[in-house]
Amino acid sequence: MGQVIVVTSGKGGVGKTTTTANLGTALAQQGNKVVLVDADIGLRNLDVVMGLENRIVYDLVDVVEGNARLKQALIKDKRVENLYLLAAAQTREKKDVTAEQMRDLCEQLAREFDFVLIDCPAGIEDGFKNAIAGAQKAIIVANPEVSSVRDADRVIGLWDAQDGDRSPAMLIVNRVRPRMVARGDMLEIDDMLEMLAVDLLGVVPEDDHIIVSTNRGEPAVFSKDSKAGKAFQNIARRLMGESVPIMDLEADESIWAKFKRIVGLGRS
Amino acid sequence: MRQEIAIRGTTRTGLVLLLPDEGDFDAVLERLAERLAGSGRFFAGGRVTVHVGNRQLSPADREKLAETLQRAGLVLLTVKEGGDPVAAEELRRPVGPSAAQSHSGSALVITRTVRSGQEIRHDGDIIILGDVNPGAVVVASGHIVVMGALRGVAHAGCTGNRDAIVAATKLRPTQLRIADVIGRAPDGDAPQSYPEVARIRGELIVVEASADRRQVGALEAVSAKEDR
Repeated sequence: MGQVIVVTSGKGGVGKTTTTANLGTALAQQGNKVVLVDADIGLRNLDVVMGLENRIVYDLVDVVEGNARLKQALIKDKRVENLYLLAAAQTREKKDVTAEQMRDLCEQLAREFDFVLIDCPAGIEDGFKNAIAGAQKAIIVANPEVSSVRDADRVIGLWDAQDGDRSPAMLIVNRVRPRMVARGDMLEIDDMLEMLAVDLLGVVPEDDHIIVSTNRGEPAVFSKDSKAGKAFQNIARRLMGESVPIMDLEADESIWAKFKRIVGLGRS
Repeated sequence: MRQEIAIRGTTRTGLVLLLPDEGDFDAVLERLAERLAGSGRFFAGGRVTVHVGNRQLSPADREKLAETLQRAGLVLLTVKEGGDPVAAEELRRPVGPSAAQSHSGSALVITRTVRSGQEIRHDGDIIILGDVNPGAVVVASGHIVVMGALRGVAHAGCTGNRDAIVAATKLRPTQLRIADVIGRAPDGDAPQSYPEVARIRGELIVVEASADRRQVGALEAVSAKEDR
């Protein structure tokens, strides 16, 4: 049985879909059989980010309603072997799927795939409840901002309150700007961890490349010079059980800053 | 003869409300409304047995009483007049300092982080081994002790016990309430790194270091109503 992992955050716009797309692609690149499930029914995005929008024939709602077999609805990625997408229905609503149906679907997918990644909608209503229903693991995506951390805390509480066989939530801190953190203008990752009291799965730096790759439908992990892509590669390896140290985001500091740090003038 | 309004929580019958025997009933109701408003939403949904002592309520008075309670989200269960044995027992019970102690046998111990959106309510003391995060609410009729960081909202002595305390290893609440007094940390005040205790002094909630009881600073009053 594969792992069913939901990618969630509570707050919108923190990078759930980007994370799902990049992690899934990275996991598939490492040789895993991966399926991405877009649970954001009515507001689908994952297909666009993956560049697979024009290949959708059947979607998640078609499968749960029995209009299509699961195999028919799975869209094979055009670049990576073993990567599939189950798109959300765009013309339907969250309540058209039940938690029970999602559980069954996840179970079916877990039999065939090593990783089932579910892209959760923002919010904590029905769409969220459905998205987490069949998952054993949860990745919480949060930005180093107070509002995002508050919502992450709320979602972790809801995740913990679910019954069934579920692992503790894991945190990805996304869109970190090392210089702002260093200046004290952004939340420190340690402070976020202290409050959320969960394990850190990875830290992803803010990267202009993501916007370009999202618009092109090409996950950043395909690009060699994307820092965010590199971070997602590392996170994928951690999900596979490898021990990969958290990327040093300070590595891009200027030569002058490095010099100042070495002689003890700069920030410690 | 009873002079004050008293609210007691019992697990079996819901809330017990004791009203003064004497004075104008409309004035009593006014004070009651004020008192209930000061307790936030704690009582919302509660079922109440009202003891009016030696007073005889007219149907109109009863109607007004039910309305007052309803505005605070309470449901009037029964009105008891005269020398009811329960009321007599309730009346004998000392008010104030020992009110929290009457619940002291039933502390609720929570051994996890209380997260945003979660609410802990308990008729008695609450002890939390973990943090209370912003967006979380802890309400107790007795004391609240947090062995960790208190960042959310805490309401101790919610049934009116002004001697209840809120203590935490890191006391950084969004808002603190003790009985009918509400306070918040002064803006821009640097938080302390040692355990602190909040209690009512006069009409304000003050925060003191828990070790030597040295007064550290007063919280800004949000509202401080005196109803007795």
